[in-house]
Amino acid sequence: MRVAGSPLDLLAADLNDNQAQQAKLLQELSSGSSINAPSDNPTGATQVLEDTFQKSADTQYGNNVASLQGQLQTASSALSSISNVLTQAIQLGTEGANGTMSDSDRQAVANEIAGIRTQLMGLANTQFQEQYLFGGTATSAPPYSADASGNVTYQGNSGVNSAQISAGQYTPTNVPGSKLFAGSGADMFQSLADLASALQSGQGIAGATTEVQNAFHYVNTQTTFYGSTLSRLNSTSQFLSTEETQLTQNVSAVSGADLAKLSSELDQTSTSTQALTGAAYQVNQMGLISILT
Amino acid sequence: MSNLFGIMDVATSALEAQQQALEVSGNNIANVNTPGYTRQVAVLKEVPGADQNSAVGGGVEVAQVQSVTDNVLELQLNQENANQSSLTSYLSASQQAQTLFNDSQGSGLQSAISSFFNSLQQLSTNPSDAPTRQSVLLAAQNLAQGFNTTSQSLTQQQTALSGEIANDVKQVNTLTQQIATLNVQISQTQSGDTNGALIDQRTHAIRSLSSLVGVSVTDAGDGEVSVSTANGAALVVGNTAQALATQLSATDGQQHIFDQGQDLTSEISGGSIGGMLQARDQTITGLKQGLDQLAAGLSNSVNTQNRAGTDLNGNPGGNIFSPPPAGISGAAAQMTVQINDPSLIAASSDGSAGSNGNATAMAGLVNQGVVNGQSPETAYTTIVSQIAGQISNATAAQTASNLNLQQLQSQRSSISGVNMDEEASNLIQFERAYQGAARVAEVVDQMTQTALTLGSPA
Repeated sequence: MRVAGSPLDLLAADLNDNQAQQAKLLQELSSGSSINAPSDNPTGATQVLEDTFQKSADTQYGNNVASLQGQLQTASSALSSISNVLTQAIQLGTEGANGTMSDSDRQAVANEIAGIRTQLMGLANTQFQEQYLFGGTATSAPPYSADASGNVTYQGNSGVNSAQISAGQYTPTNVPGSKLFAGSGADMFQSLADLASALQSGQGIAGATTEVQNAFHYVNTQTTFYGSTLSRLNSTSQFLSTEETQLTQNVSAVSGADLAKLSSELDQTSTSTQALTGAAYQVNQMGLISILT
Repeated sequence: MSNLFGIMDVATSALEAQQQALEVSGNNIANVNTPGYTRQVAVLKEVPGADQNSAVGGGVEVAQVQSVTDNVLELQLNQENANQSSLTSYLSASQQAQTLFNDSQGSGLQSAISSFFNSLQQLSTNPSDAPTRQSVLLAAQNLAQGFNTTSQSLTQQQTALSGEIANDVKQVNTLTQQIATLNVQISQTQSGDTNGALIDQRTHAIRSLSSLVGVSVTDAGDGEVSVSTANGAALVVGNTAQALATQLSATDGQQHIFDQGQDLTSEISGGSIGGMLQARDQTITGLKQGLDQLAAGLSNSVNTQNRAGTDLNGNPGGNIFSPPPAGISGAAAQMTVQINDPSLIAASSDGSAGSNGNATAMAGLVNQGVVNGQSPETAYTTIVSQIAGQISNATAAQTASNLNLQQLQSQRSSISGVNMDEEASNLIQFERAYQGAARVAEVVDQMTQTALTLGSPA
C-alpha cells in the first residue's frame, strides 16, 4: 500500500490520546474517586446518588431517634417516680387501715396523701424541651391542674403523635395522660382523693387503698409502652448506624479510586509516551530527502 | 527522413516536459503540509513524429496534470467529519450542563431535597418549636433557590448555544458563498487539466462546511457541485448560494434556523450546529422539563399536605410554595416559598400545637409517588442518570468516530497525500531526464557545427 501523509500526525494523535488518558488518571488520583462526573459511570453514579439520599435520610432518622430517646427517657423516669410515689401511698393506706392509728395520726397521714397527690400532679406535668409529655398532643399547657375544690382535672387531649424512625417504620411517641393515669376501674388521682378522705373519716380505708393499688397496677401496665419503645429505638439506632456504614462502604466500593491500579496505569501511559516520542525522533531522521542532502 | 533540427525539437520537447514534471513534483513538495492538498501527477505522453513515415516519434509532452483523488472517500470524509464535529459540540455543551448535576462534587439538588424533607422530619419530633419551624422554611427556600438557579443556568446555556449557532450559521453562509464562487471558476477553467488548486479549495470549503453542518454533495456536471444539508435543504445550487438565517422563535424562545423562510431547526443534524441543536433542544430541554416536573410535583404535594393540616395559630394550612404555573413549564425557574411566617407551617393534624401528624405526613412525601408516580428522590436520580447516560453514549460514539475519521484520513493520504520519498525519487528521475535531453541538444549543436564546417580548410 502507498503510504503518504506524515507519520508524525498519527504519532501526535496517539500522544494526544495518551495525554488525555493521563489527565483522567491524575484527576481520579487527586480526587480519590473514579466517578468525577456522573457520565464517567452512569450506573455507578446513579447508585451513589441513591445511596447518598438514603444515607442522608438515615442520618435524619438517627436524629429523630435521638430526639425521641430524650423525650421518652424523661417520660419514663417521671413514670418510675410516679410508681415509687404510689407505692408509698399504698404503704400509708395499709398502715392507716390497720385500726391502731389515732385520729390525729390518720389526719396527718391524710395530709401526707394530699401532698403525694400534689407531687404526682407535678410528675404528670413533666416537660421535655418545654413540651408537656402527658397531655396528648396538647403539649403547650400543663395537662393536670386542681380546681377550686381541690379536684384534679385533665386539660390535655387523647392525641397520639407518630414519628418516622427508619425507612417505612413509624412509632407512636406518647401515651396521653387520660389513658396513662386513668382506665377502667382505675383512676390515679381519684383513688388518692378517695384515700385521703377515707383516712380523714376513718371509713373505708382498706377499700380506698385497694383502689390506689389498682391504679398503681394500671399505671405500671401503661408504662410498658415507654420501656418497649425505648428498646425499639435503641435497636433502630444501631440498625441505622450499621446501615450508614454499609452505605458509605457501598459508595466507596462503587466510586472509590483504585490507587494501585491507577498508578500502574499511569506508568503505562508514561512508558507509552516515551516510546511514542522516541518513534517520532526516528521518523524525523528517515526519508530519501535527508539522505540526498 | 529525419534531420538535425528534428532531433533538436525532440530534445526541446523533453526539456519542456521534464521541466513541467519537475514543477509538478516541486509543487507537491511545496504543499506537503497543506491541509486538503491533493497531490498531482504529470501524465507524460509521447508526441508522434512530424514525418508520418518515420518509425521514430517526435518527443514528449505533458498531456495532463492530474489530481489524484477518490470522490467516494471525500464524501465519506465529509460525513464522518460532520458526525465527529457534531459529537464534539454536543459533548462540550452537555458536559457543561452536567456540571449542574454533579452531586458528589458539590453541585446538584440531592442535598437540598434531602435537607428539606429532613427538616420536616425534625419538625415532626418537635412540631411547635419555633427554631425548628424556621429551619423548615430555610430549607424550603434553599430548595426553591436550587431549582431556580439550576433551571436558569440551563436557560443561560441554551442562550449561549443559540449565540454560537448563529455564529456558525454565518460561517456556513460564508462557506456556501465561497463554494458557489469556486463552482463558477472551476466550470470556466474546466478543460483537459483538472484545476487542482481550485478543486482543492472547494473540497476544503466543503470539508469545513461539514464541520458546521451535515452536508450532502452531488456532482452537477461542468465541474460544479450541488451542496445541500443532510436532509435535503439546498445550500449551493450551481453558482448560487442559499443563505441560511437565524431568528428567535416565539414558540420556544430559541434561535431557529431558516432556509428561504422555512424552519429547518428540527431537521438539521451533523456538524457543530447539529450537535449544539441536539444539546440545546433535546438534552438541556429534557433536563429543564425533568426539573419542572419535579419542582411542580414537590410544590403541589407539599402544598396539598400543608392545606390538610392546622398551623400553629390554629388556622387551616395554606400553600408553602407558590403554586406552579399551569402546564408546568417554568415551574423550577419560578419556584418560590410563599410564606415568611414559620407558624404557618401546618404541622398539626388534630388542631393542637403539639400534634405532629401533618408534619410526619409532609416528611413522608419523600417516599411518595408525587412526580409522575416517582418519589422526589427517584425523579431526581432519573434526571441525573439520563444526562449521564446520554453523555456516556456520546463519548463512546465520539471515540469510534475519531478512529473512523483517522482511518479515512489515512486512506485519503495514501491516495491523495504527498509522499516525500516518492517525490524525491521523481525529482531525481526528471532531473536525469532533463540532463539527458540537454545532452542531446548539446550533441545536436556539435553535430550542426560539424556539418557547417564540412569542407572548410582546417
